[in-house]
Amino acid sequence: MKRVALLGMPNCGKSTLFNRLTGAHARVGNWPGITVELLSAKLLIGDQMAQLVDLPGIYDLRGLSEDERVVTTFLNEQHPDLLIVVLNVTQLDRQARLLSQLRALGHRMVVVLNMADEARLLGMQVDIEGLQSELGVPVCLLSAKHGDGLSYLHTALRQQLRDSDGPTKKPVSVDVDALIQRCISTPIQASYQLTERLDKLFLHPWLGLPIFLGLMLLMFEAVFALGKPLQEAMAWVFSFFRVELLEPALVTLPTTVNGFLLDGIYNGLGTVASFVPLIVLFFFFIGVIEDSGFLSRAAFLMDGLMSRLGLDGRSFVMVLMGFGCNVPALMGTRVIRSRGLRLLTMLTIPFSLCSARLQVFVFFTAALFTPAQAPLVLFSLYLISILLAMLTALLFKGRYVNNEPFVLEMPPYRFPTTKQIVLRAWQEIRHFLRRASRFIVIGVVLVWVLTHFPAEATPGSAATWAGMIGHWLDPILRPVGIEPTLTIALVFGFVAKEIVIGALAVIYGQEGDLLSQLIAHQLSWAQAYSFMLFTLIYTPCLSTVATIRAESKSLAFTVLSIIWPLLLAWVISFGFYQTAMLLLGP
Amino acid sequence: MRPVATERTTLAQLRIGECARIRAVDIHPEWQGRLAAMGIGVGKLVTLLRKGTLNGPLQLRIGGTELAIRCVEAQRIEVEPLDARSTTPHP
Repeated sequence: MKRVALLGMPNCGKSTLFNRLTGAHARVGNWPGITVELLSAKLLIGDQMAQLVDLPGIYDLRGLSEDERVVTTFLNEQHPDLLIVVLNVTQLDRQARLLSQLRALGHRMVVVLNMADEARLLGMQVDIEGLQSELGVPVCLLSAKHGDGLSYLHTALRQQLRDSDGPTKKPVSVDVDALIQRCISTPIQASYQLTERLDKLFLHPWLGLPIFLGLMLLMFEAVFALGKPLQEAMAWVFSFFRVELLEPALVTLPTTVNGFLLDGIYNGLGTVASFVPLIVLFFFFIGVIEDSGFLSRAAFLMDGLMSRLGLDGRSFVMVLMGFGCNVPALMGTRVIRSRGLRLLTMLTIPFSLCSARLQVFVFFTAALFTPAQAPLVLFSLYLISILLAMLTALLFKGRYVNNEPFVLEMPPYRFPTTKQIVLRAWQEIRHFLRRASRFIVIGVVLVWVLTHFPAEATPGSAATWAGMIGHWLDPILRPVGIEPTLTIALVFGFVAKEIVIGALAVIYGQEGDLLSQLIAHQLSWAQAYSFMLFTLIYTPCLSTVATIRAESKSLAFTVLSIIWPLLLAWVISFGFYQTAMLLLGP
Repeated sequence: MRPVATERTTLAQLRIGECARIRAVDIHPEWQGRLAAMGIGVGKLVTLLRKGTLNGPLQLRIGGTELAIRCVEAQRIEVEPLDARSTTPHP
């Protein structure tokens, strides 16, 4: 099968083009000699099946960041039959540099000038014929976002693949910069007026930061306001299904089996599954923010503060990305070249409140706080999450020194299309379901076994194995207000936070509203908040630990990234719970 | 007072809205490739758009790209300010 690699600078729309060409069928895979996973998909070009590989976005083929190394290793060892070089047509003045570097290597290529829609808005004139004849390779002007001009790309790909068995023509030597100046004309006054106007507001010297925080608060309010009813509706569907269908159907089974199926697997999974709408909603908002170019503004606003913490604006953006899931955020640090800065950023990312932890907090805040208080409680947890990331950087910046200059692109504001948003939401659900099948089922089953055995013990009581573990850890967790019954949920939360809510459902033998009511009855708000603080801060999940190990390639660093949050979790929860007890009385 | 044209002017000394041509980039060779790829190279025209608060980064426009760069790095980039009349006026 022919191999086609997609390559370009960050922010050139490469991933959008990849999605546009392949639909939602991409999968990640490993490549020999390359330590990271690359996205690839099969693509029918003419009558040939080809494999399209999405390489990470890079600035410099001779650079030394992890991403840049991945690309050069891939080109040298996998020998792709064809390269699709994606360039942002509005930034050809600098992106052409990568094209020159690639041409020097003598690869067969098709050049894609992306963002034709923005070039049109700016009034740019592009002489495609001129570029094509002088470069000696096909050049396609298109908009990956809107899908204009794709048919020409398909024709070019078909032709190039058909010829790819023949000898590669020696590249004609051209002064690419001069060629671009000849073939592209940009009006003097060209600028993104909307972006300039928005930047005046969002990057305002004093209002910028409050506006940014306000927008984030608004987003969490929206996730909560829209997501809570959806989640309750889902929970209602699951209980209805249980009462009306499963209970009558399984009534003939022995009590233990019946209990295992209904109170164990069904309650656990049902409670977790009822949070899917909330997760989708959350990723919907995060996706819009990420695709809009707003994050680089956040990096700009925060860099002054971040530099004092030994980090830079990009680190702050990674922490924000971690709000979705810590794992991709950790992998995102590959763009950072300085090892010190990269490790320091990786140490802070696990504090960001990911969507799995969000489920736990939404559940607890809804059970123990009024609808007016709940979003504020949630927002307080987000703030604590950012503050702890900062505190960690401050404490460890002496150990991980940064020597990398901070230079960040600030792309114009863009509004993702509905298709982009839907595709993204779908990818997130798929990711969630994959995790669910891997961890949550096993976790829920184990929790059920631990809370129901030995057989003579009352389920969920101190006499069960879970009760014993809780009792054993009691001296450590009692001072932070965590009951022995909840301990087992924390133990499994180490594997994945998605299990925590499922575990609670199994521990209390209830689901949905009944579970909320029971927990509200059994815990004080201080205990619940302390439990949430602990859940927020301690090790996020096994996947995160594995990613940290793989990305840092250091066991000592991985151990530090487990121990430090555990310690911090205990100290902060202890401080909070004991203060609350002192002020309010037990 | 802004320096006269014969003196060495750095990117960090430009006024907001001012346009200049880059004369020299005195940054470790390890990073020059990336800077050049982002548009910071000798001979390029640069406009200072904004300065961040609390000693935050500078926002620049070079060609079709807008960038943020820290003051520390901007001080190592030598520029030649263009005639003030040819740049857009700014309050």
